[in-house]
Amino acid sequence: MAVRVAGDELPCEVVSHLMSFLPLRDRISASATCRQWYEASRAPHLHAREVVLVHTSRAIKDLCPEAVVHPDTLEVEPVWPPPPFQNFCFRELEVRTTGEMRHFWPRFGRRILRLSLQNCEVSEKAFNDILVQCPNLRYLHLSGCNELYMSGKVLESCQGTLRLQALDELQLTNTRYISDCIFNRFVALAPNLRRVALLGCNITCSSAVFGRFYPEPRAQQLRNQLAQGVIPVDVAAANVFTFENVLGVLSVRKVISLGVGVTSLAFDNLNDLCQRLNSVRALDLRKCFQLVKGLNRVADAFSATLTDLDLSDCSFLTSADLRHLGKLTALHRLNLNGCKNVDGEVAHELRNLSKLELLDLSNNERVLGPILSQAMAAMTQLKHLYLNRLALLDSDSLLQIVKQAPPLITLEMAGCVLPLIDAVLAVVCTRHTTIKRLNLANCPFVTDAGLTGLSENPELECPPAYQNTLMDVLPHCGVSLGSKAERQIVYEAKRKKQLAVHLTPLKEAMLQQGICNLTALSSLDLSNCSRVSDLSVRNVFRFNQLRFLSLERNCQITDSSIQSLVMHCPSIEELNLQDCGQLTNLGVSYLSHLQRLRELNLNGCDFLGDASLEALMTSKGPLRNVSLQRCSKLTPNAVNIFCNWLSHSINWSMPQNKQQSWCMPPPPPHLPSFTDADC
Amino acid sequence: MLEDLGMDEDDEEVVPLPNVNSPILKKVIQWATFHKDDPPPPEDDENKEKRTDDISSWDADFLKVDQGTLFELILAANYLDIKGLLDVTCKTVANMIKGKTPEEIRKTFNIKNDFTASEEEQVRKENEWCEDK
Repeated sequence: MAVRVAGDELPCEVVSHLMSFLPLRDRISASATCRQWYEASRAPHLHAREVVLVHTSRAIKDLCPEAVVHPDTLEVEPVWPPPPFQNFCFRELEVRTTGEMRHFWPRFGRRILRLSLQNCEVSEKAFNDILVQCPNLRYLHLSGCNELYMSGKVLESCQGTLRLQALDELQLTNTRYISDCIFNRFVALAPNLRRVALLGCNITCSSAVFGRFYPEPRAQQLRNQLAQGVIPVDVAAANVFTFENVLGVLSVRKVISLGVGVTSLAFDNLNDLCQRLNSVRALDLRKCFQLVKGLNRVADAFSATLTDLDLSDCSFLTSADLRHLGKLTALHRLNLNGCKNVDGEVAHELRNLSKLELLDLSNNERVLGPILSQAMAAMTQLKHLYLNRLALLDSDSLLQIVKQAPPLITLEMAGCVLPLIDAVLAVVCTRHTTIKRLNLANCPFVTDAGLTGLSENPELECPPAYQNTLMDVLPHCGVSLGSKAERQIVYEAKRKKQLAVHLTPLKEAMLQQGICNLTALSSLDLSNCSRVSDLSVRNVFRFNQLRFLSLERNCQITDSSIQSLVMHCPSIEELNLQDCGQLTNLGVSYLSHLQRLRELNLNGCDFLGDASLEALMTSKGPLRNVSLQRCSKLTPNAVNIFCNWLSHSINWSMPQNKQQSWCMPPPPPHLPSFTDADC
Repeated sequence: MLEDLGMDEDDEEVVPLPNVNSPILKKVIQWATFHKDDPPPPEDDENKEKRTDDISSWDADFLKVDQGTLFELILAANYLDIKGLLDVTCKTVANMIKGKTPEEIRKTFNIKNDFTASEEEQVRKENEWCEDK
């Protein structure tokens, strides 16, 4: 007597709960199935983690549709109420409150929680108006946007009237035109500001310069106002941005997160910071090249409270100083990417950081394997691990690290040329089945055997006659293989094709042990893993959530791999097939069936002709960026037609909407470069 | 659920379940009995992305049923307010949705498309500019 329940008979809140388990694109697909599911997709909690990226005026038009009048019936189709979008990012656009954007702010402003303007043109008046219409703003990020600061009068007129009570995080980055006065006006607007980032701003860190701009009576006034908890706006200098002022203002606000990376911060400033800002829990000091020491102060001041620390590219911090990191036992996230002086002794100190969830040690050439693997034994909470280009790591240590780490979500080991062998991959595939992002780029010892899980099977190993030759030519980035090695790779490819015929009974084993165990995989980078071939892609690439895939410079990949990808990895949005020299028009024609493909890189695929472009033009997906450099067989005519098509690629106009005019097309894709012989 | 119905846990009253038929109730009881010693599920953290790859093998076998039964189990779990069962059934359905186009989703779950052509267009345009944070 079972009643068959159809999908559209589920109550709305159940469908919303169901959608909370879907990634963004899948939720969008689900919301397009029927009205009830569309309504369910409008639950605000589903939109908390997405951002609306507005970089063309067409986006504005799509977000603020006008009522459409049917030409025949003269009925007006109503404009739906706006979706509950909360997070907006404007990029390289003129942002206004008038003209084509006049409906935008009234429509979305009240719900906007996060607003980011990157390299936009926005006037002071428009900016004032925007802030007034976004009263619930929690996060504001202005990157560049120099026009806003030029006159120095931004936010002057609304100082007394405007209050952004909800503003919790402010980022003013990548501009030289902020002064103490401007910065203080921003902070004065936001009484509940707790997180500030000023990366790439021209902060003057020298106390001598501060003294010059703030002669004694003025400096005293500044300090008095700060001591009373008042943000000094009138006394603040309008022609310099000083660290002294920043510290003072932020200690009034008791900020918990501070980013002063990409500045000339030095030891004295860091010392001051540690003394005056004891509320800080997160510190971003990336690319502070003047910083040579100071971590002992940081460790003393924040040992129990600092949870986030970013020291990436602070390459002048000494090893002795870095050893103090071991005292910061409350750390959850630590970034030491490119801190060139991280060596064995520093790595040894990391053993005390048992709460670490994110660790980035990439680009540190002096880290020794055994010490690191010992130190990492205590990190039982680790989720994101970045070990790119650790030149001194050995395979035993890497194996140990991967075996003892808890199930990871992100694992990057690009450029670990020597240690990344199939045995390591085998552990990853069995132990770290929760991985979403995996980067194995530039690791030439990753083979099909490792990816398919059949490392023990002798038939899949490289034939002994060629093993030494390939190992002699270790591929590094930017160095092309000699023609002899290319011949060897082609030979190996032919041999593996023969093997594939014999491998059918082993397929079951592959599907149980291979990389297909990583069912949550969403990003996979196998660039320059030249021994990966169709064998892996066709048999074990079964990822229904894979969004980003790079097979760059893998010369053994052929059209049959593409066919398999289309069938088994339907969610691919970005695909990098640069220099996959064996691809032909047939392979590209398969790509038109990838429903979500947005970005495609076919640079250097020499066999592609005009038929490829024609095939791509039949794709119904949202193709936006296609890169076709060095594809020497394409004719200029075909490329022109293709470029025109790409600009209008989202061309779904229906017959009755003829009066809707399309506005500016998106920027054209990269044009291929032609040799003189072709013109 | 008992609170919603205004009942006390100690009463000997009969609880009517008009929205749950007996084969489904049997399956729910089977699930609940197996999971009776489970710790209470943690509160949903809205900032964390939810996982769907953590369905235990017993649950996966238990939920190898036809799609109609799966939806009925969802409805029953929702009505009876059993969060663990609701979550695992929703995760199973979510895994069936991943990677599919709207048309494929409609086919799988027997959903009628009640959009007009221009409404479908409006939905598509609205979502075109969304990206993951």
